Amino acid sequence: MNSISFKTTRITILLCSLLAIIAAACRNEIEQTPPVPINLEASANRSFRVIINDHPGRILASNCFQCHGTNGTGLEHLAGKSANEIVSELREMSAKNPRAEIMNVHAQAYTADEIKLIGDFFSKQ
Amino acid sequence: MKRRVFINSLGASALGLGIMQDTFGHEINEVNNIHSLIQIPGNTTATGRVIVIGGGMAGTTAAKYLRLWGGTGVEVTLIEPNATYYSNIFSNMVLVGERTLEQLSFNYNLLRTKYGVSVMQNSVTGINPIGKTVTLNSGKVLQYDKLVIAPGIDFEPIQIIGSAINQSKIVHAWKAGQQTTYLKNQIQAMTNKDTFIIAIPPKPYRCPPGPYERACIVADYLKRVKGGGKVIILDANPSIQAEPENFSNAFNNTHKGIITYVPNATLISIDADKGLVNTNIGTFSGKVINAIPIHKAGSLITNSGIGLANANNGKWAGVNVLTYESTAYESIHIIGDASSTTQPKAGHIANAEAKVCADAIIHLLKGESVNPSPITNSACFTPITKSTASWLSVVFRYDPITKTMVPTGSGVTESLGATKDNYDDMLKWFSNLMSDTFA
Ligand SMILES: Cc1cc2nc3c(=O)[nH]c(=O)nc-3n(C[C@H](O)[C@H](O)[C@H](O)COP(=O)(O)OP(=O)(O)OC[C@H]3O[C@@H](n4cnc5c(N)ncnc54)[C@H](O)[C@@H]3O)c2cc1C
Repeated sequence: MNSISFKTTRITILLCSLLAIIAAACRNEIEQTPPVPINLEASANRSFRVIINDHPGRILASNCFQCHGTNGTGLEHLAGKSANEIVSELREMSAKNPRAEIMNVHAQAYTADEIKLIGDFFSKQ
Repeated sequence: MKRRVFINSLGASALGLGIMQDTFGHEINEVNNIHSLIQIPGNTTATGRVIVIGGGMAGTTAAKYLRLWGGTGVEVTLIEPNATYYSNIFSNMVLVGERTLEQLSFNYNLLRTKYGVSVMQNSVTGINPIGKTVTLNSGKVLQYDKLVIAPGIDFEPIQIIGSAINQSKIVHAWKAGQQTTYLKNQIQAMTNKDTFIIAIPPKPYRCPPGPYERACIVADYLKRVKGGGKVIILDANPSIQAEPENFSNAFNNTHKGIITYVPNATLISIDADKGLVNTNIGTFSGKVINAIPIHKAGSLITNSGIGLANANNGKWAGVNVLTYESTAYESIHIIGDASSTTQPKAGHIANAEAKVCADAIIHLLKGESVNPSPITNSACFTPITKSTASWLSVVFRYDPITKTMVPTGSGVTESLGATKDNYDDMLKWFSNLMSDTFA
C-alpha cells in the first residue's frame, strides 16, 4: 500500500492519512472515528487522474470482482457508479438479515471506512 | 446480489442476460468486450520474473493480476499442461445434461493477448528452491524471482476389487473432464429401480457443499426424468459439511424418498463386480458408485522432495496467508486448494487468494511491505433442483493474533432456502467469476 505516487503533495498527504485510518480500522475491526475527516471527493480532484491500478482501495475492492467483474465491469457492474450510491446501498444492506441476500453478508463484513474506499474505487472506474 | 440496485441501465447487462439463456461461451465473450477497456499499466517499478504453475482457478487469476496490477515490468509465465481448462464449478450439471463440458471450457488466449502472460503448455516436474529454477516435462529449466504454485489436488487411492473393466467403472469425477462424461453416461443409463451411491471423503476436500449438491442434482434428475430411483450419500464426516439447514431440508423434504443421508460412513473398499460399497457401518449396494477419494495437495507439492507439503501430516502446503509464501521456502507461494489455510478449498476463494498473493508479490518486488490486513471471500451457489439454488458465503479477515484468516461480519452464512432468484444470481456469478479468472 506504499506504492501510490501522485502528482500533488496535498493529495498524497490526504491519501496517506486515509491509508493510515484504513489500516487502523482493519487492525481493530472496530469502526473508529477518523482523526481527520475522510474526504473522498477531494481525491477525485480533476487536476490529476488516479491511475486505476494504483488506487488504495484496489485490493479491498477486488473482493467484489468475482461477482461484479474485473474492476466492476461485468454483469451487475459497479464501475462508474457514484461512490455515494454504492456506500448508501451497502449501508442499507448491512442492516438487513444476512441470510436473505448474499450481498447483505458482504455488506456486513466491511468497516465504514473500507466501504467508503470500495465506493471510491468503483466510482473511478 | 440485489438486482434492483446493481443491475444498471447499461446495455451490457441486459445484453449479457439475454445471451446467458443461450450458451455460456457467448456470454463470456460479451463480458470480454467490456473487459477490453482494462489496460495493463506500464512499469509500476515492480520488476522480476514470476512463474505460475497451474492454470486453474488460482493460478490463472494470479497470472492475470500480476500483470494487471504489476505492469509490464513483471514478466509472468504460466505453465499448464492442458490447452483447455474444464471448470469443476457447474460440472455437476453436466452429469444430468443441463450443461455440456464444452460450455464449461476455458482457454488461455486472453491471458496471452490481453495481459501479455507467456503461457507454456507443459507440466513442471521439479523445483529447485535454492537455485530458483523449475524443470519442465520437456527438460527445459526456467529461472524465477518469485514462484507461484497452484496445482490443485490429487487423491489417495481407494481399494477397489473386481475385474479390470468393472474397476474402471468406479470414477470420482471430482476433476472435471473425461470422468465427468463417463459418470454422466452411467447416470443416464439408470432406471427408476436403480441406486446412485456417492461416497464423501473426510474433510478437507474441495468444495464443501459439492458432494451434497451432486446428490441433489442427481436426485432431481432421477425424479424428473426417470420417474424415481434412489440416492445414498455415504458421508465419512459426522454431519453435513456445508449449508446444513438447506441440505437437510433438501434431503428430508425436496428430495424426500429419494435421498438417504448416512453420516459417519467411512469407505473401506468397493466390490466393483457386485456393486457393493463396504463401510465401517455396513455394506451398501448401488448401480452407479461415485466414490470421491481422500484428497491431498497436487502431487507436485506432495512429491516435491523439498518439503513443501509441511502441513496436515504432509498432505498440504503450509503458507503465510499475508503473502501465501510457503512456510518452508522464501519466494515460493502456494495458492488455491493445495495450500493449508482456514479457508475452504473452493474456486471463488482460490481467485481471492490469488489476488492477495499477486498484490503481495508486487509489493515484494518493489521492496515494499505487504498489505497487513488482507480480506478474502468465498461464495458457493448450489443448485438444489433444475430451477432453484441456495448459497453459502463467508468473508475472511486476517487476524494478527492467530495469523490466520477468520470469518468476519455474519460469519459462515447460508441462504434462507433455495429459490429461483438464487438460481438466476448463480448464472451471473459463474459468468463473472470465470471472466474475472480467464478473461
Ligand atoms: C463438482 C465440483 C463442484 C464445485 N463447485 C464449486 C463452486 O460452486 N464454487 C467454488 O468456489 N468452487 C467449487 N468447486 C471447487 C473448485 O473447482 C476448486 O476449489 C478450484 O478449482 C481450485 O482451484 P485450484 O487452482 O487450486 O485448482 P484447479 O482449478 O484444479 O487447477 C489446478 C491446475 O494445475 C494444473 N497442474 C497440476 N499439476 C501441475 C504441474 N505439475 N505442472 C503444471 N500444471 C499443473 C492442472 O492441470 C490444473 O489446471 C467445485 C469442485 C467440484 C469438483
